Amino acid sequence: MAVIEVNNLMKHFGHTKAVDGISFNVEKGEIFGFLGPNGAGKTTTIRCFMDFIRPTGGSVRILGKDAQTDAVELKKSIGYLSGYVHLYGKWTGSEHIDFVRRLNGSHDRSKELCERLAFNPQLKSKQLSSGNRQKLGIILAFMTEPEVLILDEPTNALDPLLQQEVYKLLDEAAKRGATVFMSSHNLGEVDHVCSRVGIIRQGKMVTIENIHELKHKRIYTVRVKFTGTYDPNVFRKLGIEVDVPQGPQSEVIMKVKGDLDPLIKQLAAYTVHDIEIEHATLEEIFLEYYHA
Amino acid sequence: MGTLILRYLKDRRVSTIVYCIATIALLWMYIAMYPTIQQQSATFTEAFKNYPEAVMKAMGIEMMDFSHLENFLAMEQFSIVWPIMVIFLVTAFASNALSREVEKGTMEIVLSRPVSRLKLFMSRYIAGIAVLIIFTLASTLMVAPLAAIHNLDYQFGNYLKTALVGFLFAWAVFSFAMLFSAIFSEKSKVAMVAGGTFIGMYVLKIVASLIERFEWLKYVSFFHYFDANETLIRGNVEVLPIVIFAVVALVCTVIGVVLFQKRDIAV
Repeated sequence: MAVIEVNNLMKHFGHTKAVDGISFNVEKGEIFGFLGPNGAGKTTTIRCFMDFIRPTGGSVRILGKDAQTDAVELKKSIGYLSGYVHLYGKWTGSEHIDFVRRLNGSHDRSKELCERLAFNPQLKSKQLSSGNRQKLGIILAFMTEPEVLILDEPTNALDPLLQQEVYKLLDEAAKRGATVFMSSHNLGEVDHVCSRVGIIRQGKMVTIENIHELKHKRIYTVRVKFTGTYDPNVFRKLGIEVDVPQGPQSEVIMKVKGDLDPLIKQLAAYTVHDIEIEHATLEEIFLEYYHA
Repeated sequence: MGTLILRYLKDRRVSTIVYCIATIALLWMYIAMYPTIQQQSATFTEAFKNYPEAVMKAMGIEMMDFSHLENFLAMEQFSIVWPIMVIFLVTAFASNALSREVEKGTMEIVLSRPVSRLKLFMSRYIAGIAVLIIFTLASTLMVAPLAAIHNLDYQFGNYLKTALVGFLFAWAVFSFAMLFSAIFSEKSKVAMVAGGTFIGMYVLKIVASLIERFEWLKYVSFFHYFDANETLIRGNVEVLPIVIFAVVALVCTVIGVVLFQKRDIAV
């Protein structure tokens, strides 16, 4: 069952197409990673989800309701974390928590979350470090145990230990059936946490894939040591990126997208001293999409 | 909505209290000065006779008679100082209510919760009206205890009437500023546009009083309709100012709500 349904979503600012007709679904209990370089349209998409900004075209449905017309009703079921946590400077953490509790009118687990994230709610927001601001943002997003979590860079400014705690919170949320939509720049985090990812570039969705399938994309890094001379252009003609080392170093690094067979056949024409073939890292795969 | 209103009033309580204390202090100063002024009334009247008529009109001074406290306060407090204080107060309040929250990004704390934009707008609006009522009452009805302290006679009914028209003036100014707060994402723009408009209105009123062929300009100035001489000295409340202020307030509020609901709030 799709909890988030995005259909041909568009948001234009004058001539700038910040989001240009993206469509995808996020299923119940899924942790969906939303990736893209700065300015790709991630935050604009999230703002459309939250009805902060109105789409130029298309629609967003969350839990079967329209994100714009049913925004008030929907927000009872949504926990939101901004990419930069904005807080009232004169309020303490407790005052923020109390305010959210009163507006949502439901039970909350803020006390437990404060303990888990080692957050002191008695301090005024203006006294908080960026990490502590992020902790408070996470507490406000998770405290009502929402059915849907929309998180923009959830581990921003957190140290590795706290990042692990946030991963646990995400995992627990997914296990209890919550659906998580999160943007991130941290590929290790996406690899660790998400079950599916969407990659957005220049306002368009370039791919949506299962994280395991994505990691098994047929992109290889091949390191070859030749005995004797070789002609790199022969390999380039096969569409292979060839990095020829400077100086006496004999190892050549080739990046192969797709079938390895043509390369192997071409290598057979040379004397190869050593060869090492490895799958591209997730980061390299993302960079392929970013630079495509 | 109660949570939003009370929270916002709590956030603005210091500035509201400071403003009220300031206006009461000013009022007290004038009341304390009044017995001396009253004794020197003849001298002042003679001195003011030498003032050009245009200057007197521009300052809103109509009657150079200090035989009553109301005449003195109408001239010193309620013709210029009080409207200017109201403009500063409500423009600051209105620009903080919406624009500043968009500018600072704190609006997302509210809008990411089950709160409609209409409810948010109206909660800030009602909080603003509450502050206006407090300020108007403090700055007019406090005359009673202060005059009693100095054993002065006063026309309490006239202060009530001034409070009524003064509140309507403040309501119109506030609604006008809230309209711009609903449109702009920067607090400074609201202050600039709303504040600039009110200064412009004040200039128009002066121009209208000085140049006969531009007399019609007074009708586009709020300051023409808020006439402290009429309410405080003569105890008259005319219908036209009430209608004008109420219509301006309601129209600005409706337009503000509609535009606030339609706009993008890129927090």
